[in-house]
Amino acid sequence: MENNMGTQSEENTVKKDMAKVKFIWKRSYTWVLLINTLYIILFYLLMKSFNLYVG
Amino acid sequence: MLDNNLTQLHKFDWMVLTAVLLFIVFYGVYKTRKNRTVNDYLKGGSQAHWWTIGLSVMATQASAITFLSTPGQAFHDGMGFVQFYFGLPIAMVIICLVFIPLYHKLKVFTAYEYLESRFDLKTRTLTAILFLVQRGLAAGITIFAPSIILSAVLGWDLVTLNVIIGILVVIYTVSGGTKAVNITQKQQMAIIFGGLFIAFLIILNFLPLDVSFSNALEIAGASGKMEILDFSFNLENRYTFWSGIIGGSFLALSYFGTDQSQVQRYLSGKSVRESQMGMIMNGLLKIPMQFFILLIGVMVFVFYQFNSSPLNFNPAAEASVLESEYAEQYRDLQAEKQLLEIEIKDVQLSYARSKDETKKNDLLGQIQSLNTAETSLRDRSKELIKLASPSTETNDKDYVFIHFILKNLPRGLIGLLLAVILSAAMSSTASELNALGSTTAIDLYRRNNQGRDDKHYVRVSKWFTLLWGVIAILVACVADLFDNLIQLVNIIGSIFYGNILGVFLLAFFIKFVKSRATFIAAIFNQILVIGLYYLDKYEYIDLPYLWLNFVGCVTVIYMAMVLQGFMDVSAKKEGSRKRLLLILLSLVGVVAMITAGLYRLGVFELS
Repeated sequence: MENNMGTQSEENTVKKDMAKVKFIWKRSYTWVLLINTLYIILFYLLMKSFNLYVG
Repeated sequence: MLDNNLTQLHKFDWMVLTAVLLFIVFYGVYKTRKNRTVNDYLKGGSQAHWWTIGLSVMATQASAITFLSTPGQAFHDGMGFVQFYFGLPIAMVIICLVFIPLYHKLKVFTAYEYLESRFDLKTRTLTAILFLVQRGLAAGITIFAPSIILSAVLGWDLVTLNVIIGILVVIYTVSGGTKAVNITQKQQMAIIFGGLFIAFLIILNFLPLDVSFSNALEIAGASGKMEILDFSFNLENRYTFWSGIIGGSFLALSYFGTDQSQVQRYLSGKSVRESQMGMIMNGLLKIPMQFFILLIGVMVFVFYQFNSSPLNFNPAAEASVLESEYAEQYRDLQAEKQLLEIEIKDVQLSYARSKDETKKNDLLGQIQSLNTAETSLRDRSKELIKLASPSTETNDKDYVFIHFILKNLPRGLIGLLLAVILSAAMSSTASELNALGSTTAIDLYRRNNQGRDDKHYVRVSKWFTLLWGVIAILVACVADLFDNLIQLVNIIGSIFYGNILGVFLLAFFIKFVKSRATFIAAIFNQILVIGLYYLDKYEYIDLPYLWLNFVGCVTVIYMAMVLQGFMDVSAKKEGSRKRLLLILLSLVGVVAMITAGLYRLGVFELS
């Protein structure tokens, strides 16, 4: 049945598709974020040590 | 080494360059000669390991311009460009968490295929067409951009170079599909990393004996090249920590999550885990890789503190001014620069040798004033070039690194570095053609011509890939006729990307929004974003086009939610009034916040 909200089957498909997938947080994601934060801290230290420019 | 005109390539360089490029093409064709099914051709048989995916994703993003332009960017403006990539790891995590599991579960060939199962056919077709327009143009520019630079410095014919790069890519991409793209990208990345590492070591070796790496960093720092982080909230500074984290996340999410040239790389993974690991690899290596390329540029800057450099690195720009009535004035500037170079070299050497902190501080002041004088000379030379030839590009950042390579590297290595640049051009173009062919074959052709056997669809995919290859070569060949075509392609990307990402985010996260509301919102939002671009162009507002991506994404999401909210209310759905009220309240909040932010940043003023 077509109505303003889309079809009933569309609603079912969405629920089915999303239910099939589990979004699981893995430890490796935490590592990616942590290591990249570390890069930024290193850049900051590098900048503090070598950026002697007063412009 | 080369002559001053930079146009004579030694036969040993030719041998290295030809051998590397032909090896890649033949290897790609040979290794993928047994492709039989659509899955083999478009997903590489779903056999790729995580390191193949990781390298392939990195090779796709890193085009020739990355290796030509980025060191030049660092040479002139320092290391700040690295901030542009700060949002990328966040995007990688979101893609691993949401995008990859969904795409794999639904066994899609293209990202847009998913949108039909979530919304409807017209939303899928709309996003696929937006992708084809944007990426089709970009593929041509990926070939054109390095060709125009190499033809300018080496004197090679532009059209011939475009055709050669295009044909080499087309041979293995059409023949072997995704698998050929993936495996050749591994070789290409090995050549790229190897070449860059050797170039870096050679630059360090070229520095005066008493200038250590640490001294070199100090010299760069004294000249303002080590300003890596900028925490200011300023829209005029394109690269700040905040624009990198916020704008960069959106840009990376739309590029890696919804652009088929990237999606196809991780869809070829053996499993969800392998695809996720490939993206994690990208998330871990991308920032150090960009940092390293920028560091090469900074070291080239340090090298030119002790060696002579041209006023403008673009030989065509210098030639045009030297043939004009401004030649005498330009020669005066060149003479001034030569004197300045001697002074700079002496002061830098004294700085590197000095152990006394007070003396170092004095020298630091001198270095800064000498650098200011040099920048001023370069700016004056640009003004003369502009007067002599208004259409000539005076920004020479694309020419700095190639000038260094051609003038200073030994025989054989020049060939290798040229192979690095052409490999990068080929790897990006291959992914783009592969994705364009797949999207046309799957989202447009197969969707409307179902029930044929696999062989037929493989054949059709090959023909479409070939067709897009021809279109890309044609775009590359006519690109020279238009001013700022590269910028135009970036603008088109910013105009479309945000909208497409918004549609995908609606599909993933906002379950109550259905197809009709999404489609209407996507159409209206596209018009709105184009309108904003023109408002900026005609100076009614000041919104740099890079922000259109972010704005387009947020507005399509809200438009679709509000539309769906009203549709639900009119259909008297349970709880719909309360939901609509919440959406409208949050919309008011978001609009107020963004308006205050934009006002604070000076995008517009209250009169």
